[in-house]
Amino acid sequence: MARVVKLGQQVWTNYHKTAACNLKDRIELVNGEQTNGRDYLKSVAETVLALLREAKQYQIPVRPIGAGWSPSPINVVEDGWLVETLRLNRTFKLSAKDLHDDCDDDVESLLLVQAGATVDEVYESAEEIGRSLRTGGASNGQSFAGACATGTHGSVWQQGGIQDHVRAVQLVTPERILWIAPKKAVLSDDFIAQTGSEIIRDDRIFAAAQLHVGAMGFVTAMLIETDPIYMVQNIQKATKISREHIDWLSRGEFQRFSKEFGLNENPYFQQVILNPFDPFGNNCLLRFLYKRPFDGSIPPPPAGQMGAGYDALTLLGNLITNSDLFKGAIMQFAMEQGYPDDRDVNDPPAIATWGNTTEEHAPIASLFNGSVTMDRNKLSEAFDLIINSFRQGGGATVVTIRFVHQAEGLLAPAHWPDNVVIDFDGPDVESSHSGYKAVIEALDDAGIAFTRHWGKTNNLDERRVKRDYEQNFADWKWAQSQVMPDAADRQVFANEELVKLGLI
Amino acid sequence: MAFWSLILIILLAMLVLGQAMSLFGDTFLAVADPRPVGGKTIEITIFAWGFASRRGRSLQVDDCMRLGINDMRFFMTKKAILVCLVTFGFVRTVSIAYRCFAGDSDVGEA
Repeated sequence: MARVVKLGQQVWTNYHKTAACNLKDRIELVNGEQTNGRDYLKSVAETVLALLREAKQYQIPVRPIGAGWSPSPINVVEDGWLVETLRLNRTFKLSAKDLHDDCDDDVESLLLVQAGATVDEVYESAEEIGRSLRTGGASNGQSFAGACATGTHGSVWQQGGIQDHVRAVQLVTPERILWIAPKKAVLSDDFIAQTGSEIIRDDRIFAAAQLHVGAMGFVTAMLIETDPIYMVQNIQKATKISREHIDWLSRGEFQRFSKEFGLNENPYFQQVILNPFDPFGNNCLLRFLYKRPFDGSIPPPPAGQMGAGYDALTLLGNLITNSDLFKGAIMQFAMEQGYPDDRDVNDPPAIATWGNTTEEHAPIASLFNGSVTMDRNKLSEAFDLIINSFRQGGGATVVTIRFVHQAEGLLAPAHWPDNVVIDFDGPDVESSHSGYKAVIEALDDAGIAFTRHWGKTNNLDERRVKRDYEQNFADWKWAQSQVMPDAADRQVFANEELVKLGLI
Repeated sequence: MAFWSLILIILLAMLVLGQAMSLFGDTFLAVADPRPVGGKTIEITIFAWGFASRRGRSLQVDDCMRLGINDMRFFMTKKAILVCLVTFGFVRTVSIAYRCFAGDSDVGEA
């Protein structure tokens, strides 16, 4: 069995200090000494099963937690158990005999990841075996399982969310230990049995488990798919763009945009950070990543060389201002201060592996972040509306524009064929909230469909979730009832936010 | 005379303000390739500018499961800064927020 360390009753605050709760107990899970991966998975899953059964018996709500990264209150539980997984951070490679006969995947592309492994650890593990992930979020300190559960994404416009890497999920309910996989089998029946689990092979249930918002059980491990290792060349610059360039991006003319400001090739990754107070009069911050073959002779970049500027939370962590005076100018100063000035086209190329495109994250002040995701083709129509309503609503954060392909998972916010995600990241003050609310109302009034990030401030409720996801929501609820038919089992994972969202 | 008194008062006020602002600055130390987990904030109070007994000025961390500390942030709270200024530095409370190291293993065999 894995070790269970009870840290006692306490007040717990999430990573970004946006939500807190009074805990009945904070419980840490720690790997025991095992000989191989399947034994680690079995012992952890059995430990979690015992904890969940006890919780169900005494009607104690349980919240599994990785890094507690989500700023939305989905990761807090009042008067319950917070079960931390960050010490369950091992990764394992499989052998061919662990795969099902029907599986066409190259065994080297698959990596078994425990629930507490952070995004950074998964990146490192993949590179250790000569592989890379395809996309990821702006930060790397959150658990990989948590990032998948909330549909974290980056700005790789030909890829979906981080959950798209997932090929199977091991999750535990108060009654069962399960591997959930698509109908076309990946893992062998023997391997699944050796991890102490039953198998559910169903496309709909798997699509629900890929992005489960923490409401389908306790994820203890995931099987993920990786690509052969590659590198990316990083171009970052502060420069003025015009309104016309937004139209280019709306039409998906990324190479044209890149030719104008970066290299004359299709960027793998494309991101724009704007100052809403004067998006075209001030410099905006551009970032392009171009895919390159792996070259082992290129040393890893010094800390900060590749990642700077991508994490807008860090970028604005020091910008704490409630003053209306010079808001735009202060924001512009803060934006440009955090951005490197030696990554332009004519500077020495900054090339590194995908795992070096994000920076380590240090705890910072309480921050606001919200976002809207919509059909990329609507960007041109919605851009001025969003910027104007945000500013008029008092919004005082930078606006980041990112691009994502249709993501997997029934509850994936990026569910249009091509998506644009507009992020609002800044200080956690009332004006940030009011600006974001103004954007939501303006988009609704204009009849422009959009969704919101599960892990960020989103002001969602059950009615809106049903409206946004329609049949996918009904399918997700059906899948949840297949995994946990007993309502008492589902109640074990209840917290105020998940109940409000209609997910429990 | 009044003029020079005013200059002196302004200089002293600037000195106090400068000291207060400098105490707001915090520092952060982390291991390379960090793996943070858990942690808490502890406070250590230094009396008499460090001339007082060493006892109580060094504490031990006992919740990191023998894997050590991942990172530490050293800072002073607003209250501690105020007390420090009012007591001319006689009572100086420093906060240390630390997180534990979660461990870092190579990819294993399934």
